[in-house]
Amino acid sequence: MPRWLAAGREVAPLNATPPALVICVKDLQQELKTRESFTAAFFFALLVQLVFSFAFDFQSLGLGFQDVGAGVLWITLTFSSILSLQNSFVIEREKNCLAALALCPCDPSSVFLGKFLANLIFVLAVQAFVLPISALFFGYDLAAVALPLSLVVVVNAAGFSALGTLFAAISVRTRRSELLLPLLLFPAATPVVIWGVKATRLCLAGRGLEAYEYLVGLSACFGAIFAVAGVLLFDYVLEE
Amino acid sequence: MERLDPMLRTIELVLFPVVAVLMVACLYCIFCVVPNEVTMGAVQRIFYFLVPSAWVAFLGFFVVFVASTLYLTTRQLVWDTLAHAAAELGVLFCAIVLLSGPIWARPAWGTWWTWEARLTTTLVLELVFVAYLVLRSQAESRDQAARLAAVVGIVGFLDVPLIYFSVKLWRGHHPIVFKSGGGEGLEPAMLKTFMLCMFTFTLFFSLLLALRFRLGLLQEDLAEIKDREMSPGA
Amino acid sequence: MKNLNYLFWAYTLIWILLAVYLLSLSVRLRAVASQLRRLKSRLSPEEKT
Repeated sequence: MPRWLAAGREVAPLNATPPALVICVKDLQQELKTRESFTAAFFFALLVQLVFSFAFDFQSLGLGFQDVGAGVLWITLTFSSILSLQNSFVIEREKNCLAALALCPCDPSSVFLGKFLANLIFVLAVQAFVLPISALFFGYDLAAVALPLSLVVVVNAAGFSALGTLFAAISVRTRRSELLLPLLLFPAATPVVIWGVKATRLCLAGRGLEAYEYLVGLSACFGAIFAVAGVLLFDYVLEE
Repeated sequence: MERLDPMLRTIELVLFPVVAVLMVACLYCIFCVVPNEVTMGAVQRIFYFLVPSAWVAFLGFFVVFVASTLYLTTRQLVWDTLAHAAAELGVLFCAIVLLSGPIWARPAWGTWWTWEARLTTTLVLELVFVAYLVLRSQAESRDQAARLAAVVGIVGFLDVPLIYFSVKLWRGHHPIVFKSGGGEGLEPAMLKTFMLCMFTFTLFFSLLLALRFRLGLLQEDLAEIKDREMSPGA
Repeated sequence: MKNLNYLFWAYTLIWILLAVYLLSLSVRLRAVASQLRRLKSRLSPEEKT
């Protein structure tokens, strides 16, 4: 019988809050205290947008946010998420807390779910600040599509973070983790990026939800598949 | 472990002449028997190697998936060695597809690269499994490499249908691969040659896998002996 | 026949790639085998004593 299973049986009934939530809250509290990750990801996202608008001179080309917004949004989201995903495990390594997480008297899948939840909230928080600013940059009325757009972003960011959390935990174990994570994550996350961009474009163009609900559904499936994969496989990743 | 080596050697000895003869037969059929395709002309003959390579690459990734699962359930490093061998071959055959695909696309579609579903999927898969190989080289210990790579191998394989489906949704562009002179159905000689190539490539893959697997096992033996020599207490 | 040069290059490149891989495989196999043989010959006299 694995160590965690034996330990979990004894402790779980005493503790009312699920361990996944405890880990998530711990991560968010840590971030609220230091704000390291958020500052880095937020300004990185802004810089990406800056480079983006220099690279494609929108105003002289006469392109609106509905044309390029989906691209801007997904490039900034994926690039800045890489930073925060990486950081969520690097901080654990620096203070040698990975071993503590592995010894944590709960199921390893709870560690995965907690980290995943914290990462997702974090990615969404960055986007909540970045999206209005980019709409401002490109002169677009975001309020009109706020609700469907947030649905698209939440579902796709969840898929990206599920796979990203698993791969970040893997890459942090290796010698050059910061090189490995983008190499692993970007190709594997192709589906969610493709579906996300497509749905976002339709959404920004003012189409109704029925035009892209199948894309949102597909992304949700992607997220579910890799969340389940993470829950099942995280035990092997966490093992010393 | 002890019984694997002679077994692999026998497989190699049996397969090698068979594959050599079949490969010559394939090349003869491709260049001397099969009629020219009407719209694409001679370049269509690239397909007799391109499609089997793609099939074999996917077979390799499937072997990675199965071997990774078996490693995680049984914890025997032999399975991990097999997964590593299969991943390397998958990357090799993907590279063949990515190399010959554009050479075929240029005269057929007038462009070196198109974001066609199958070609793009192959590219993405190549990237996934190159990352898998990089991960293996970056791991801190043998056991860790095996464990982490197995997880990536399983996730990567689960991703295959999703990637294909997403790219297809993104860009639908279907080449007409076989069209015979009369325009009605497939020329029998074409189909026969194609089947022969598929069969030959499958055997060729098995031969290479046996070779690479044996190499992996030998390397493992060597590392083990060196370990034992290093530690004085043994 | 048109486009023969494309056909030529496709098959040439495929065979070059395969040859390079086979070569690397045989080099690695030979290196490992020779190392193993050396180690065995070094170990066997000790085992006899």
